[in-house]
Amino acid sequence: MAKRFMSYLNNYEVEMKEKGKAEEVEKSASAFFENLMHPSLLPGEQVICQAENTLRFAPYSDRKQGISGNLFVTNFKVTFVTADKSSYAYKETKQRQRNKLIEDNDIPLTCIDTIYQVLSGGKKRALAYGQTVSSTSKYLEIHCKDFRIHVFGFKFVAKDQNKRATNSIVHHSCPTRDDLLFAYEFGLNGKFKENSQRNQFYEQQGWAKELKRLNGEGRWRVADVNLKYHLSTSLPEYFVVPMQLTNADLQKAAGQYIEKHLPTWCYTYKNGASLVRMSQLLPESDFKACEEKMLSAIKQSSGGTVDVEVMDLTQLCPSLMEIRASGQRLMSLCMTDSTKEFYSFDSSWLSRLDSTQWLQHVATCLKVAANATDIILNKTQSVALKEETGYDLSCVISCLVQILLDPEYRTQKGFASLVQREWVVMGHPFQRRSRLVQGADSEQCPLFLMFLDCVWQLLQQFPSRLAMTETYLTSLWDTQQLGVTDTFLFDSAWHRQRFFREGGKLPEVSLPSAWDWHLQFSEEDILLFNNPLYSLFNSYDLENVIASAKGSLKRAGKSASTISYARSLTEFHGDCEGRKDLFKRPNSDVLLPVSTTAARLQLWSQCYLRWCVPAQILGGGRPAGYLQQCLLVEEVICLDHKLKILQEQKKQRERGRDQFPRPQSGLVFSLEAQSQLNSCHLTSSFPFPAEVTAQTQHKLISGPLSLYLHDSLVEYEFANSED
Amino acid sequence: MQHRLALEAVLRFSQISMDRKQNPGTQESGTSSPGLKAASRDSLAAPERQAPGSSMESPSLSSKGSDGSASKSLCSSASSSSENVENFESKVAQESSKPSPDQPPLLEGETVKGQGYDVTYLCPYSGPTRGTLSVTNYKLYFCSIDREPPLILDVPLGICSRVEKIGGSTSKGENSYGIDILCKDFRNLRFAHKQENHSRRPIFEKIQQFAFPITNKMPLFAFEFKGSYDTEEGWRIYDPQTEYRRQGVPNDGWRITHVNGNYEVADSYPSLLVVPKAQPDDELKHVAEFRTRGRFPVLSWIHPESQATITRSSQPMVGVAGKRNKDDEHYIQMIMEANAQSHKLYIMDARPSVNAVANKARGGGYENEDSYHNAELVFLDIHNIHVMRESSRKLKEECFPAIDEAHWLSKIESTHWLEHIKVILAGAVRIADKVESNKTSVLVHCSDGWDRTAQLTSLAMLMLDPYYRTIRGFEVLIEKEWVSFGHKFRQRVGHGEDKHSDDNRSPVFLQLVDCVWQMTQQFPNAFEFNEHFLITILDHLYSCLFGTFLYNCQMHAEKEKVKERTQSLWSFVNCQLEEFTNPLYAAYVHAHVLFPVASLRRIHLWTGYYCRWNPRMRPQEPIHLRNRELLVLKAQLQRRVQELQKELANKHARTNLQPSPPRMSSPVNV
Repeated sequence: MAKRFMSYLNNYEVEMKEKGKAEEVEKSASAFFENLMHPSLLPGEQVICQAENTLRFAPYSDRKQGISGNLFVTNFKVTFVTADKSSYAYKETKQRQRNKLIEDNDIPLTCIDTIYQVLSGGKKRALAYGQTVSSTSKYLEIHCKDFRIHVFGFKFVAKDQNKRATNSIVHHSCPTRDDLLFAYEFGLNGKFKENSQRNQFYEQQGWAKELKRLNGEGRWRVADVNLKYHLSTSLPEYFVVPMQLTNADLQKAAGQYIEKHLPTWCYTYKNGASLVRMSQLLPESDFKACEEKMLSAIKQSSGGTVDVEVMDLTQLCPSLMEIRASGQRLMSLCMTDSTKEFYSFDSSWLSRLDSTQWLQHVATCLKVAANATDIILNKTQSVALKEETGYDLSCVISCLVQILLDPEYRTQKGFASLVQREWVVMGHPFQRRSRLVQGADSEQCPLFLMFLDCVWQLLQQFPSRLAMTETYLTSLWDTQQLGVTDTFLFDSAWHRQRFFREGGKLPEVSLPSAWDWHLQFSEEDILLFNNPLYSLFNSYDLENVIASAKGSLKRAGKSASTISYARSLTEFHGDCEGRKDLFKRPNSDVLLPVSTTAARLQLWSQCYLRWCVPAQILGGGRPAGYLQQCLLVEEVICLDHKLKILQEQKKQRERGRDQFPRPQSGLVFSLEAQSQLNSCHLTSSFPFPAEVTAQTQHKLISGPLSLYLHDSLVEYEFANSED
Repeated sequence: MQHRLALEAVLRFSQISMDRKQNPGTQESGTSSPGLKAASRDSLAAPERQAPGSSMESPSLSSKGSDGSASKSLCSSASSSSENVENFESKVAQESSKPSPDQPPLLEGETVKGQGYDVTYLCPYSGPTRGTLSVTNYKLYFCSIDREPPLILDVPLGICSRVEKIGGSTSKGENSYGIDILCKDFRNLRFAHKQENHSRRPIFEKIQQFAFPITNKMPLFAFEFKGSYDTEEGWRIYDPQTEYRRQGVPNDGWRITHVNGNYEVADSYPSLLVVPKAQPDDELKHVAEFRTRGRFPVLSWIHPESQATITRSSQPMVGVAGKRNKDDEHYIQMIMEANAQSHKLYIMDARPSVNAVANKARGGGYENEDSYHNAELVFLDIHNIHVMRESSRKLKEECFPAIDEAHWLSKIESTHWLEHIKVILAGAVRIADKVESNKTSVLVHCSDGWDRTAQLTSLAMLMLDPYYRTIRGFEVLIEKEWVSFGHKFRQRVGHGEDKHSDDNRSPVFLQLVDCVWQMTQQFPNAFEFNEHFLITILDHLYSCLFGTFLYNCQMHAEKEKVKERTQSLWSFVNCQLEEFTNPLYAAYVHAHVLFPVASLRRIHLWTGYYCRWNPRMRPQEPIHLRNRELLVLKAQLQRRVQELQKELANKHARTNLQPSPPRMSSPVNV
């Protein structure tokens, strides 16, 4: 084993990663000669310090298996460069979901949650931000917000490098001001176009358009009372309020609300009932008068017949403190780094999971959202979400309600614009909640993760009704931790503007949007965000085929009424649907009822357990089912396509195949580049990289992903004829 | 074919008016008031809706309904009442025929033995409902008359574990006088009767009589069932000779022996066994003498490439004195030598080592590594049938009728059920790993070799051999490792006996099916069968409708002529395979061994089985339906493409045009 640590000396190859930027390659190429092992850098990224002869330990190897290389701390990430390609880390290099901005094993500084220093005596302590470390580390354990643990060994590192590396990680992982974040350098150097579509809610037209789509015009109006943020720095410049409230009314009322989050419009359902969000009134405010006036204005705008139902989220939902504590417990539960630790927890796993309260909190949020949806839908009553700050749990609940009510928000585009509007523009303090800069501990809270978890639960309960996959949600969480996107960096619209204009004093600072997935992923990887069940039934006109399939089911005597009693002896949940309701679609667009019973909620294992090697299912897990669905859908699309061509032939209209280009399924098997599939093995962590350790290696005997295509009816030839 | 027609005649949902059968038994159990009958007929005439496609409680009686009858404590967290109801109703709204409260659908050979009118079923989810309770020689059938659609219970009597009277004729309070039935399938049923005239007595007696036929010296219903299924005879699915031939036996190392042809060596073993070729039959008898109940080590499975084997047996009779048996030691050596790849043999003792030691006092024990050269003994720590029974009892308490929302996971943990499942799976993974990765043979035993041993060998075989992951292969596996090797189904389930506290009862087979379900969850496209298949097997483990699980061993089953006198469960399954097929099954992807993760991170409670009576556990959008739709669409399209291709080819041939038939689909091969 010791040999492995030193083996880099004999191996001078450095793997160069294509970054897509010619200058980058050039720069790296020259670096190749200057320094054999240099990290690849983004524009604006600089190396702060390095530690040579660092060991990077394989996860769950009990610090007995690792590779030697150089650890670099840059202003963006902690990265480890090795020349040792023989070792475990390179066995699985052909994984999908490779991020273009970072390598698989890089750690963005903003992703770091806690740093533990282990001293040579074995003493382990957490290093606090701003603290200067004088002792030398034996190991450094970096616990990340994406539930991963990185362990580095400093045994062979020179003393000065040891201290400096430790200090710079501690120092740079949580700077004192936001203009010290790497995003600032990145934005200064990057040429990212303002994505007007994503940022539409910073403008008046964006709100007006949404209001129009939802038939809210005439009852609600876009207010410009906060122009230049004169009224509130936590609200955006434009927001929507009841028509009858004048700017003067708003100015008067705003002062009475905490953070001036006066009631603003979120959504209007078809029946006229609306969803509104607001903060609590200040204790010294003229409580009654103000609230009554606001609520009656909302009532008027909702049709004027029923009173507004005020839901106090401070009472109904867990507090930020509870969610924060729960998130911490969840993290420490899911993050283990030794097999022994993993198994010693195993028999008490359920009660530990129970005591994190995470799933209970998820259930509560879903329950509150379902109740609000029910009130809007069935009582035609408007709902006002009231919360102390008006920009935390109201983001969660208002998004969930809108996802439940409106299929538009279940598309990827709609979901992105919803999160952009209800979280980003309405002023959820992402910077404070994910603690990107130094601040009070109590401000930190994985609220967005809780929201994503709620959406994930909906995805489990309504598998064909949302366009995205769990991989999309997990990648979104990772993106927040990347710390370079416009989307998840700021506390409010005002804060964002200040960062760009005042803080920078340079107009050309611009940042990419999180929703531009091409920034991070290849086209093929983005295909993994598409839900095959959704796309088949929503994007293709299969009515004809479905009708004939139904017909043939009937002819074959499979319909319920002809199943003899002697054949239908067992009860299977959903059986009643099972026999009759193939191809039956719900009458309603609304996703109800939502199940919130403890026995139906599950742990989001892709997000929380993906790095947990002993829990990885080799060759299986949810991704196996996902890929199989992708394949079936691809086959259906191919067959349908073929049928259309044959029908044309039958009508003697010999048209070229170019008239029928192969339809694009948007799924992974539409790819023609088989090599991708050939080299990729499946684990339950797919598409996230699977760490293969000495213990699991021999079990990786299942074939590559291309096996899925064995004997399939997928045809690729049509695509060629497109040219 | 006649049988088929006969079955069609008892169509579950046929128009009652058209083929109403006269049930001689109907008259037996007292008369009902004409008024009630009229009421029940009224509900018959009501338009359209009817109960869902199969038995049991209609899902439309959602506990979340806004009507006052819903039990508050059970549905406190109901989220969105009316939508729920609407959804479910639309699902049931289509059929045009209706079930009749006092005319239960009947199987061939089934007759109504008694009926109780004006009985109230106390549904723990939707509250009390009034209707008619019928008892036949096969089932309990309750149909409500005060609900639309009616609530229907259709419960095979074999599922009853205990039937009790509750309350007396003078008990106070509503619904306090009646019958309580504890079931083997994770539920209890409670009926309330009118307190006048001992109204429950006749029905109670009928239930007692027909739920426990063995106690009452009557035949199990399987022997009275006259139905049949138009498919390959299920009893022919498993033929030991064919199965061993599939595994490549006999071969250089192993041979088939008929030494147990008359069940003289081991009466709980099958008559046909596979042993090392070098071992003469005479000496086998000496080995058998050293093993509990004569269950000497025999072959279960052999690796097609490495020749590493899984063999099974009972414990050696070492006793406190530490007895040795040269024949046994020699025999174990031969099992090891039959595998040229390895000079080692693992003996996996399924028990915790403490229990294995304790067994010495009863004349049993375990192999001493000093006496068995090159053998390594491993204890797998699986607890005995009594611990498992206790665990399942606790599990039932947590799952039925309501669950503890606030502490659900902790409560599940405290039953230790999943921990036991994990240990069993972990043991099987260990066996599969030794055979696959180390190419080493493994001998598995516990005490008698018919409970834990059967769990371990069959699970390891499921991991190692993709054949057993097909529907047919799984049927073979059950017939082989469980039925033929003498798992004591009759005792463990307690068929037809009124001895609910019999400590021979234990959910051993249930645990196996649970473990299999866990594997299907971890490998969603590796199994040809679906969850419905597994639940069907469990339902008929208790129902006593089929002969498959009725006896303790092959000898006993043969004596009772089970194959001639009863139907096999596999006939029932195989005549409607589409019901039990997993649409995601991809044989190619999993042509190899599967290693499930034996950790509670990946082992979940099978709520689809243990909590299935709770309407809140039903999926909003069942994923298996969506997947099945994909398969149906694919088949439909495939058929139409083929038809068109044929048509076009014919046309081309006829008109003798350019011979350019449409391109056939060419699967992409890798």
